[in-house]
Amino acid sequence: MGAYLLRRVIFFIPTLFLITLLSFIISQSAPGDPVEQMLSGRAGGGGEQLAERQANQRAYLEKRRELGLDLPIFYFSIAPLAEPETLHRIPQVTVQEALRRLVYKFGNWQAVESYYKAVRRLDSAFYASFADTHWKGNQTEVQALLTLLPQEKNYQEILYKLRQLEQRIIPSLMPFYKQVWNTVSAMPEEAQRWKVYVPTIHWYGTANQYHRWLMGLLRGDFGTSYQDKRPIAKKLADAVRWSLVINFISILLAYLIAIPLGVISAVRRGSLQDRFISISLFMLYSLPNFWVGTMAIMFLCGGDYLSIFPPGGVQSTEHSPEWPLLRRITDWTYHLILPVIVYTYGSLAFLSRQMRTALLENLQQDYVRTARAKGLSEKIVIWKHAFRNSLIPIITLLASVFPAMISGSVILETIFSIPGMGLLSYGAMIARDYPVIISVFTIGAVLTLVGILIADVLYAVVDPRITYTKR
Amino acid sequence: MKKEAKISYSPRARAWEAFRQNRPAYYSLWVVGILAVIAISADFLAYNKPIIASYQGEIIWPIFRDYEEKWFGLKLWTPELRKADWRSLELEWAVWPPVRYAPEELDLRNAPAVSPFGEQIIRNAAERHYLGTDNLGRDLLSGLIHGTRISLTVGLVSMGISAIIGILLGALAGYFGDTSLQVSRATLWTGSIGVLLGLFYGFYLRRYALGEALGESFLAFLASLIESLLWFAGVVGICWLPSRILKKTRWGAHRVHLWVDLTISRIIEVMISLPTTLLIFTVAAVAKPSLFLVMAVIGLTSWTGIARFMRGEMLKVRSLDYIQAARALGYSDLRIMFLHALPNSLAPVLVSIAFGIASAILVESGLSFLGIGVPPTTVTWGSLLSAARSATNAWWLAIFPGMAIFIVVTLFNILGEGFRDAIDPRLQAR
Repeated sequence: MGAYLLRRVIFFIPTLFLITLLSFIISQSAPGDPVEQMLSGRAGGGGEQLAERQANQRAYLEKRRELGLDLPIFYFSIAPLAEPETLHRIPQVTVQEALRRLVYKFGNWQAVESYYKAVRRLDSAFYASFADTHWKGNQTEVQALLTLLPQEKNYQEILYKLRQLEQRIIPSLMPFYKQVWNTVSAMPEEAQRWKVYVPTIHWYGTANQYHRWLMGLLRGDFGTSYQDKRPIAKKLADAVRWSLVINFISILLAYLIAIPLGVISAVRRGSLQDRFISISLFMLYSLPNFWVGTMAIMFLCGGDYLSIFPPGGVQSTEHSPEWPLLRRITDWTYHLILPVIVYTYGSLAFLSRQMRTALLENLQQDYVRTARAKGLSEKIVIWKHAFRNSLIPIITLLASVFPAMISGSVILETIFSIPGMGLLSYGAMIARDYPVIISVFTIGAVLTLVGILIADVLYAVVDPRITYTKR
Repeated sequence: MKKEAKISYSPRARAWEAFRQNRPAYYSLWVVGILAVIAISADFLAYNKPIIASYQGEIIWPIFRDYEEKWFGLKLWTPELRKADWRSLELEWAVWPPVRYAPEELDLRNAPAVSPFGEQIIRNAAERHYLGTDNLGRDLLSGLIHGTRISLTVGLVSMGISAIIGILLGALAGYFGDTSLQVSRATLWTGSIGVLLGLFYGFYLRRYALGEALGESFLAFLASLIESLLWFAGVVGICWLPSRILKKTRWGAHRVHLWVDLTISRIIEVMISLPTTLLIFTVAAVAKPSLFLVMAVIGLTSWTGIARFMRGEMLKVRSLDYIQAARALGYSDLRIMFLHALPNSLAPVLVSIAFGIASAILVESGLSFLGIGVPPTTVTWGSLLSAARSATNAWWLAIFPGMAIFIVVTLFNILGEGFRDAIDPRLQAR
């Protein structure tokens, strides 16, 4: 058993690796600049005075280094020959992306780089002459154009923006502007398109963003939330409690009710009871839980209709740890009854339908006939022989019920305002707090793997034929 | 007994007969058909312009004119008619759709949330909001009718994607197993290099073009994807050419087994241990809202069931006599697989597809209920249901959209059960 468990855990490593990779890819494709998100938009552009702007830029670069965003993304990169392997050092993801697109178009990094440098020079010259009297109030427009220019991916758009700049710029900046214009017009002339079609591999080693992130993950450091700058690990620890409590209760309830229901309807197959149970379970199975949840909140919880249950939350507002335990538990129960019902009924229906099918299949087997022929009582035949064998598929389902509940809780916790992982990730989704979304996904995936592992172990407990050891 | 003479004994005819005997399933198929008709003709059932109208002596087909503008990019409307509210125009006569509101149209006089039985500010009885309005004054019935289109499209497209992947991978794994696909070392190496380079030229270099097309429209993405596939095929083809020479060498002529089944089974195992719904939620939350993206992600993550069924069926079918016969006749593996073995193993996949459509629709409604993944202007059943959360007295917003989701999900679940019962001979015997 121990050896088998070890083997399973080892087998999970590639899957885990894949999950972290997937999470990382998703987080990389999240729009926006993480550093600006962290500094809440006061970096990058912004800041009218030169000194203030320089301070902001310094803060930006410092934060960037602190987050390790100046590192390459992965252990290695596959890129066209035209793309320089040091592109990741350029600050601002959007600028990086724009330059990469230009390189993909023209194939000549020297040309693109000199354009970028010319833009930077024009930029600093602009801020140095911010107080110039020749501006006639054009500064803000020029500032906006200069912020957008290096982020522009489309060559035609760059030309268009430059022409707009030309009309507004003051004479003293003209030489800088001319430089930019020259480098831009040089790009198509000096194009080396063949370089785009030569693939190269570059090895960066462990000093990369993925490695850093993964190591952080292993230490339990999930990064910081954009919203409140709190460590994500702390937020998760607060939230996971409620999700686990509700999921645990509801999985337990689902199994406790589903198994007898399934057995009754299999044993009395074709009877009125069976048909009633089957049809109502089928309906329950197809009933979207977020519909039931919405209706329950609307019709039963305060609102304009009945007011039997509290309108969401896990405890009443005056709830305090000083209350006697019994009172606290009653308060929690009162709040959790409705969510638990809505959580449970779907998996309950699914499980008992599976239980019924499995038991029916087993009741037709030869060994059941043998047991009956031996003269065993029907009770023993069903419970001791057929039932035990029918449990196997039900147990495997634990592996699929568990992840379903985790993802299902995103919707249900939102409806019932339960401060668990689901609500946390919903809040993050709305606020575009990507590090939190990715962390919830990673944790959810790991919990799923744990669910599968538990199912595997239970499998061996129920079925003595499965020993997992080499005979 | 004339009827008995009609019974055919081909397995397919028998399965169909069994399916027809199953009344709920058979009727569900009909209802799904009706829903499909509603989805296709949604604009003729609920729209803010008449189907045909006579205006100032001229006969106009406004809905068709809108279609022409949308599909061919023409400019056919005069400026005043483009902006006009057709319900208040002085038309000589007109044939209207039964519901006179477009799904995303805001009727500000009947906002927020007017009850179907309550007082509505309308000009005449035909303009009634039959099922009320939502918190922004959008007509609920119109939204439900047009939402049918979205739900069915999501179900069909996402399951289409997952069926293609699942059937292909499952069939390959089941048909070839680990031993029967042998290639020469020359083909293996040139092929692998070709695939890697093909991925680089076809997809990696074109990733920006593909991404932009995805954001634009489904057709643009399809065109871009086909271009990528052509690049891929071309590069693989060129790389494969030297294998003809290499095959003549001793090293290149050596035959090796391809572990098709092992590889695909491992991929399936890994896919199963991913929490797919959570993955869909995460991707939808991070990416730019797009209905097509939602369908693609659902499709790309839900093919494992189909692949497993297909693999099992193929394992059974490939040992049957007629496949041996086809092999003896010297048919190529691909021909046997696609023309002879596949059609016989498709039935169980149908079961998976029916259940898959139900769960895809459920996932999409869940996403739009939360307001992630689907553009905020798109009216779906899920987004209508979520309106009930902000209008707490609007029972019609809680009941009707949820009912629509429930009915469609139930229909496809019944269909799936029906297909399964019809196909599974063990169950027939009962």
